[in-house]
Amino acid sequence: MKKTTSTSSNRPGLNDLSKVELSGGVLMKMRFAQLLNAGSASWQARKTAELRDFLAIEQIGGPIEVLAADLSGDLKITAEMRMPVPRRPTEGSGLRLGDHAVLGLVYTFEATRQPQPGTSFVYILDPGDVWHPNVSSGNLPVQVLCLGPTVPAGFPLKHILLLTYASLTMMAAQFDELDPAGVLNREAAQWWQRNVHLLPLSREPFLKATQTRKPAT
Amino acid sequence: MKPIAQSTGSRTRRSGADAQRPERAARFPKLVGMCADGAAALGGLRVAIVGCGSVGGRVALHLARCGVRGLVLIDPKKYRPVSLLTHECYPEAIGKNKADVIATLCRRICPDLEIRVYVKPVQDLSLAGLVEADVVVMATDNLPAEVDTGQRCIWLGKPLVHAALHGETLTAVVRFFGNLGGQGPCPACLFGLREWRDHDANVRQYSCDGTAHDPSLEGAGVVPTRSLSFLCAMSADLATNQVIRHALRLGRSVCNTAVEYNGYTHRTVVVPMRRNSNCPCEHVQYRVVRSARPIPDLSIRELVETAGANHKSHDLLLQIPDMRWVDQMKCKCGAVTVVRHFQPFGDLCTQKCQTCKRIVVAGPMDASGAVATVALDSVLDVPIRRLGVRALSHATLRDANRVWLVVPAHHDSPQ
Ligand SMILES: [Zn+2]
Ligand SMILES: [Zn+2]
Repeated sequence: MKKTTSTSSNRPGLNDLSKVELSGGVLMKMRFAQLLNAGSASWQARKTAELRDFLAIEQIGGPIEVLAADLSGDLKITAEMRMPVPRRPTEGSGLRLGDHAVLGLVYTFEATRQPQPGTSFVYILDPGDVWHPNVSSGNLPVQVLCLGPTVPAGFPLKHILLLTYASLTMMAAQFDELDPAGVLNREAAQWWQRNVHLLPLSREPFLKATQTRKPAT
Repeated sequence: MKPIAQSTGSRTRRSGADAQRPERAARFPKLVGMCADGAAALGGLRVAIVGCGSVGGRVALHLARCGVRGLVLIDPKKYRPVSLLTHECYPEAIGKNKADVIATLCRRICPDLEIRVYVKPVQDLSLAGLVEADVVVMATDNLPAEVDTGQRCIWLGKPLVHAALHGETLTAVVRFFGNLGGQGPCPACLFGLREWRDHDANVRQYSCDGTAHDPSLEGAGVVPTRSLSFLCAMSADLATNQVIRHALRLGRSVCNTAVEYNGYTHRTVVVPMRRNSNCPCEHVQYRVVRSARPIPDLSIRELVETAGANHKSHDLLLQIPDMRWVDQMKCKCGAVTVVRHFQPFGDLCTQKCQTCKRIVVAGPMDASGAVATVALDSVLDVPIRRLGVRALSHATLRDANRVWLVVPAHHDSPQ
């Protein structure tokens, strides 16, 4: 199997993922997802391109692994992202950190042509107790990550991934309850305001994280 | 979706007023180059007007006087005291919905006019809301509404007349987008960096809790168009001229041209408009298909056959507005519960797990706003009504090359 080396000099950046050649298991994931891809030619091509970006990040040893992808209707990708994830503090031990999150990403046809609410793209399927001002908690069946008041039309999914990384590692979270975007977990927002010394959970940029991971084989 | 207020979505055609028609015909000029009976031709015309303010409101009144058959009036706003300076309105109208007031005036001018009123942003109107219009007139200073209206007109193949003005230079501009086959220009094709910046500042904002805010409706951060009453009237006059020229095929085609009148130089310039290949809008015309039966009564197979599409095609995607398809959901115990139902957006889809009896809730990964028809094989012959869809204005089908919009033949569906 072809091995992709990921040194800083030749590692492709987020803007040239299209140059990354998919191979092995990653290529198989692409082929499997493409078995059922419906919609207009441009929407099919868009879904393929977005998924390909994800798989390219995985191919070059980035911090994500695509677990499942569905191109049949809306574009839906389930992926594991490795990064420090804040989990609800316990009485004794304070804040706990997970080392990954399983993300559910949904991209609708409407998102290609109309601005969408920041809550309509990223769901955190695991862990179930993310402790974050912009991640819903409580009685909801699923944890939603709010990316801000509005996500522009046609916003690439790889940039949504980048925002998710920055948000969950607390590099760019929104704590202010008066902000138009608001917060989804008031209790967590107040907790983090009292514990700003813990911020951020990581200083590794997403691309650096891409660089330090072992390449996919 | 529900019709708003009593007047919203209402259609009226008053009988007993036909006596007024001969009078109108007697006043109708013998226009140069007009082949058919002009008054009769206009008597069949239906025009939708997006924005019933200082320009759109006047276009509506002009068209009512011309004796068109129907008007669809769309405007979410109310008159304010400052409206007296530029709008065709009087102090009694302050605080009332612009679209309602214009509708009342038009009915008084022409009692047999068919009028539908929508007091809401055009973005919230169902796509089917513009299907019956022959021409759409757009007179709004809200750029997201312009892009949205332009996109709808491309999809539906409706000629779009965009009336605008520039108060500081006494300029009235009217652009006529032909929208033949989706290949011509649209309003967004003409946007430069400044327009996109203003557009982005005015797009709908959402809080994390899902509440929506329209900056342009709330007046926050929006610079009101500065203009003078006569310039608004001039823009309305030019727009009406283009509607009439198009409807009666007078002179050269006005399709894909911009007319600009300047009050300083008294010059009128007509320039062609071209498609911009970087335009983000979908330049594809939908095939509008009318279903004799209410859409929820059709099975998915019948819906697809009505459109003339092939349900076995792996490309074919079905979309029901504001609904998502939930195929199955997975319980924490690992058991899979089959759902195969449409669910309104925002509603929780819950079922009891047959294995552990826990309540299972469908997550976002279990639902899809669009669904491939090959994945619907097991419910192909079930009426859509029994799949959770009680009422709907339209359904969309798209394969690699075509898009079909299925609407009820009698357009009295929910908006
Ligand atoms: Zn365009
Ligand atoms: Zn169970």
